[in-house]
Amino acid sequence: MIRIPLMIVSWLLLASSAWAQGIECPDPRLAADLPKEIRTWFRNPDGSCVQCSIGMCGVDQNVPAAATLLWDTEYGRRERGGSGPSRVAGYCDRRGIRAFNVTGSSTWDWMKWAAETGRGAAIGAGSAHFQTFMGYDRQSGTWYVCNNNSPSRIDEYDEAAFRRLHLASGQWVVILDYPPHPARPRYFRWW
Amino acid sequence: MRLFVSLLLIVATCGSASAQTTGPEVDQAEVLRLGNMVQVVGDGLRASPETDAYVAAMGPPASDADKWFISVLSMKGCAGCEKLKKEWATNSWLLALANPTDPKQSWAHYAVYDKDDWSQAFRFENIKVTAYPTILVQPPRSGRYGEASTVVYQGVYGGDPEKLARDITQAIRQYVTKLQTVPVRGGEHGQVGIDPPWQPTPRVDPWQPQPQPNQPFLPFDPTIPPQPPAPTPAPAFPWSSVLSLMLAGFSLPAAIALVVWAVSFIRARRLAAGKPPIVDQKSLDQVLELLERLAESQAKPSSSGL
Repeated sequence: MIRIPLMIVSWLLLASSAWAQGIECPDPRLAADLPKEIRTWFRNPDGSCVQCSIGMCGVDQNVPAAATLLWDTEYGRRERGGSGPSRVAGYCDRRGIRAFNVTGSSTWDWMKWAAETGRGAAIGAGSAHFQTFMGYDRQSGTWYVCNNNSPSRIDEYDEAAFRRLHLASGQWVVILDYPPHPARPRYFRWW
Repeated sequence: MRLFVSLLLIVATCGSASAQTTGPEVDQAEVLRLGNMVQVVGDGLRASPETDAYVAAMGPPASDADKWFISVLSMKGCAGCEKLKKEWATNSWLLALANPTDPKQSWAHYAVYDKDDWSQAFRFENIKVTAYPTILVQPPRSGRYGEASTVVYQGVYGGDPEKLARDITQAIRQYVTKLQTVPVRGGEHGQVGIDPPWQPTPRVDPWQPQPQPNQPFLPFDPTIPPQPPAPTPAPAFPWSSVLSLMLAGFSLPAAIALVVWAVSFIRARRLAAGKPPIVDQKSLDQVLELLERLAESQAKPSSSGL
């Protein structure tokens, strides 16, 4: 008699652990390669979601001037608080960060380009919020996004859900104009 | 007046000529990248697929995702590292491979990683670096040249930019040549790599084979769809034996010839249908030899029979 509840509980445990695992870097479906430990450096401290998102892309593409936006460093004073495209343009100019600051209807294409070329992007996602776009799986139509309010996990969205998410904040993306990261190098005896 | 018209013509000619030449007339960077190379073109018989593949690899990349990766692993207070970074910005041999100041025009994606930068340390956990600056070369992200994580070249800068550039292109050439000649996937681990203990099903079937040494070359039929094997010709019917049987009565040699024909016929039919033969070729040969000897001994007249 007790077997059935036990089976249900164990099934629920298994299902919840599988759900909790989710997708993690490195994964071929993800364009950005940022381990969980590094993403948590960019947990949103004070409404600086735009800089958190750009900062993650800075680490991914090895651009220290962008990676250190949140802090006082040799690359410049910390940039905290809310931002719009003009503020982003200003601190990118000051720090010498090359970036595509894109607003309007072409943001979908820019995000897909970023994913195909192995780059992440800082994107409008959610009401007045910015998150880090981590990748797009064209085959399944899945978009991968890391929220700086919960940086230890990578959220997955289908096409419709991602469309709502992106439109909720207005169509604006920032993509660093630097080479993408190389795949983590490994030795294969090809010679 | 004539002089004025002539001057106008000269100016107009120069103007149109300069308008036509928007880019460089000779891609000198590509010439440097190729190094010593002879490619036979326009002749299918003498063409070398390896050389063709190498020339294609060293040409301008089709897209951002088709660019190779060159990573310089550097450290603070390292004279060689500073020298290399400076030379990479000025030396024509190194600029031909990667242009640090103009990533869009650069043939490869180029990045410098500091060994003390914790934010990047995770990338190089799987490789051994013993000296700085170390240069790593990896294939493009597109997968056109195999697994993008493969270390195609790793070396320490010795102070000679031309030698470094030649070493890199030579390694790429060897790698691309391997891709052309040895059919396989990347995945055999080396000293430090971490690979699964089994061969997983490939996620995406690569359009180009990848190298895996120590495996025999397996030729494949490129015909699509694959053609069925050519039918094995059936053995000719032994008309002479049948006629001699009918005319002269049954003799053992003629009967044996009929048996041999029947066995050969059944065997040929089975092989043509793709079925395994009932007996293997060696055993069949032995039986046939035995029957042949028996037939000969029967056909020979007795030495004493006059």
